[in-house]
Amino acid sequence: MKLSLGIGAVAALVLAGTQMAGAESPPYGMAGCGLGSLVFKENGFVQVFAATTNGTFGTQTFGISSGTSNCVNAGVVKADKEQEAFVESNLDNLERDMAAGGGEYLAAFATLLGCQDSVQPQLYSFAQSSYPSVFPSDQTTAQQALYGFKIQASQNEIFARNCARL
Amino acid sequence: MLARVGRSALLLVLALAGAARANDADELVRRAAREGLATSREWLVLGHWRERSFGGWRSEVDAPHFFLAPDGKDDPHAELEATLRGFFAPPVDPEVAAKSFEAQHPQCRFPARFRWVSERLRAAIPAQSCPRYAEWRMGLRPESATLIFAAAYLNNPASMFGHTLLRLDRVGQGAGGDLLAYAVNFAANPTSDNPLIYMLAGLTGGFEGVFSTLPYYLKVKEYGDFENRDLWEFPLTFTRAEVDRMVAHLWEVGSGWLDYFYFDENCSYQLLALLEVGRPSLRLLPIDKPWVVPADTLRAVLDAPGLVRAQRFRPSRHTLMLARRRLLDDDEVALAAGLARVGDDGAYASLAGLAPARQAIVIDTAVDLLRYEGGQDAEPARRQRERRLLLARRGIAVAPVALEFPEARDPASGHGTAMVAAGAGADRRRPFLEVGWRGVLHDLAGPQQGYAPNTQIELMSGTLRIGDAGPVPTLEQLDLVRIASLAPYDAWAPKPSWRLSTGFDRMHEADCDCLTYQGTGGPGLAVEGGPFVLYTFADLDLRIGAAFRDRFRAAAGASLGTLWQATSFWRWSVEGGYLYPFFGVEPPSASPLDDDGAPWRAEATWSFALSVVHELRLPVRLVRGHAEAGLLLLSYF
Repeated sequence: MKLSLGIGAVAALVLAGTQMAGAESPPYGMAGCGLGSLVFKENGFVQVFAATTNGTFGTQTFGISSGTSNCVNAGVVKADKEQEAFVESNLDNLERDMAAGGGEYLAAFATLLGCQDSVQPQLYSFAQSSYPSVFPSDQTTAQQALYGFKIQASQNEIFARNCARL
Repeated sequence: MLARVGRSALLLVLALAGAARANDADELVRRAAREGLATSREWLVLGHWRERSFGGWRSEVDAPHFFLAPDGKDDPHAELEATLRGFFAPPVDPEVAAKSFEAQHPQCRFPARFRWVSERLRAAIPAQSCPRYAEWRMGLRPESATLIFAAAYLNNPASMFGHTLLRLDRVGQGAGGDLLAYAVNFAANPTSDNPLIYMLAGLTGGFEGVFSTLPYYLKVKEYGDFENRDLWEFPLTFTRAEVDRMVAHLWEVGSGWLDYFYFDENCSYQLLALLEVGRPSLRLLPIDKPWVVPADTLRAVLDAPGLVRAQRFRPSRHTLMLARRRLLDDDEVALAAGLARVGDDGAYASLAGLAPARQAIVIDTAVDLLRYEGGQDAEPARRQRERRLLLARRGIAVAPVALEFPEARDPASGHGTAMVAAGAGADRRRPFLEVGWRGVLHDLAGPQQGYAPNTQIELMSGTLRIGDAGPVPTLEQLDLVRIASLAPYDAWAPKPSWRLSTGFDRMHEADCDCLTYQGTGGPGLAVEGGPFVLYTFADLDLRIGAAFRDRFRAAAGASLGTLWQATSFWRWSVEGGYLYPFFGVEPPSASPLDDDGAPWRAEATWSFALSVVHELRLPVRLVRGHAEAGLLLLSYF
């Protein structure tokens, strides 16, 4: 009973997350912050010229003179969007670190979840063992992975107590 | 009646307050003038004013709203006065202030100026609340700073100039915390995608340069994952107060723009200006060269006493992959490739035969390859192979091995970015004296440390010769651009090799010492084995010159060459080629330029690094019967 409730909650939240993201999408045409959709110019001839302006990736989104978007304010990610922005931007590296049970991206993620240093090793092995359920398919989105992970981790008493922003 | 008295009293109070403000402001302006604040180092760096060659001042900031005085760009005195008076301005309605940057109170637009004059003049200026600035600062929470240098990326010699950014760190940000810090980036804001306009505007200041603050993880992704550029991180000794001042100033200048010039007022230059604001006693600018190469700014920072406290290397995806692959034996390399590219049951069966720790590293390497080859492309079949690998990895409780990069040399450890040379030589007919120079940056013959391997980019390099014809020097060669990218074949990271050049070149064929303008280039192949790189190019050679029929010649051919790094300080480069003129001169047998045989060419250069500054070079050249040899001393700076 408890288990099915839990699963139901995950499903509802993931669904809510997706819908919420849909409602927020206009500025970027994508879920959440849309940082995952900032595409880098392909290597090639254009890159030779790109060096003359020194990388323009994200300059507009993060310009200090840029105004506020749903996620970024004057070049700084809004506090309540930090987790989303990070997971969206680094989904591939985070997925890999979770499967391996360690790495810089997983450590940064733990920091964003507000986890104290003392529980980080446990969180890493938890991340490794829960990898298949956090990434249930090869189509898993950032929002699904983020909220899936948070819900599963918050059911663990240690993490619930020691990770302030879970 | 009472109401009227009340209103009059209010008006009186307001008038008095206004008069008091004016008095206070006048007093501060007088004191500032008495103490000569307008030309103090601190004020000049805050306004980016530089002394002009014929007297007077000019600020490098181009946005008009960076100045409160109408002539603030050229007059630090007027700007200081306008600033002091502006700080006493009545409060701005929060709704108005929220609308645009310029609508904010001067104290909120210029927090670094405000703090400096308050401290310097010990002035009690009524402080305004600045919610926008406060929120921005809260997001950054900077406590220390790190200079970041992005090294060249593969196969793109133009990127050899590098790129610099600044990272704002938090004390004890811990494992993974570097990724979460903010990077300050200065880049052009391109308004065109057309490659030609893009390049020209980028070079000539046609784009506005703007500051942005991005999460460092985005820059790591951009440089490390997608462009495969290694990053070097140099934590600075900046104190909390210095970082505070720099970040307050970043807000001031970040809302404006500075015209972006690729060659001088570029990313690196503006970051140095920021550092000078943080610590005004630093004298990093100007860089005494006609152009500012990021590697030079890195040297300026490293040379400033006690500014840099450590050095870290952050390998790119490509560097990481090759480093991990080196830990595998041949069978494991084949297995990792099979897992990444096919991922069939057979490969997994072989994997299962390995010890868990070896399985982990083979899988990690396979994921490296899969990601490297995939780039940004999330093709479904590749995603499925990756997922299967990650699911297998998940079953092994072994952390990824820590990799080491003993061969990585920081980009400031190599030779200087400009060069002059002098020497003597002789050809078949006469001896000559030679002087040479190179604007920037690096060639294949000289010492390689600190530069992307097998990559050449030279801009504005040339040689002059004085022969027995008299004391008047003749131009032997002037390259506007010479670029070569040799990418030794690697089955995991195959890249094309290519080269291109254009400029003036004196041909010595038969009895003709003819100046020509050339454009040459072509694709190639390279392989590497130990200290040798062997390469071949297909060459197309187009020339304009008075000696040719129709004043034009087109030739095609091929070259074969080798680079040999014999020891850390000496090196050979040898190249031979055949170039067949198919347009513009008679066929070789009948050509007046061909009395001396077929259009063969051979050259060799021996290079000996005396120090990081000096190099001895011995070039030998044979072109269609013309032979010459020389000895040159090169100085890098």
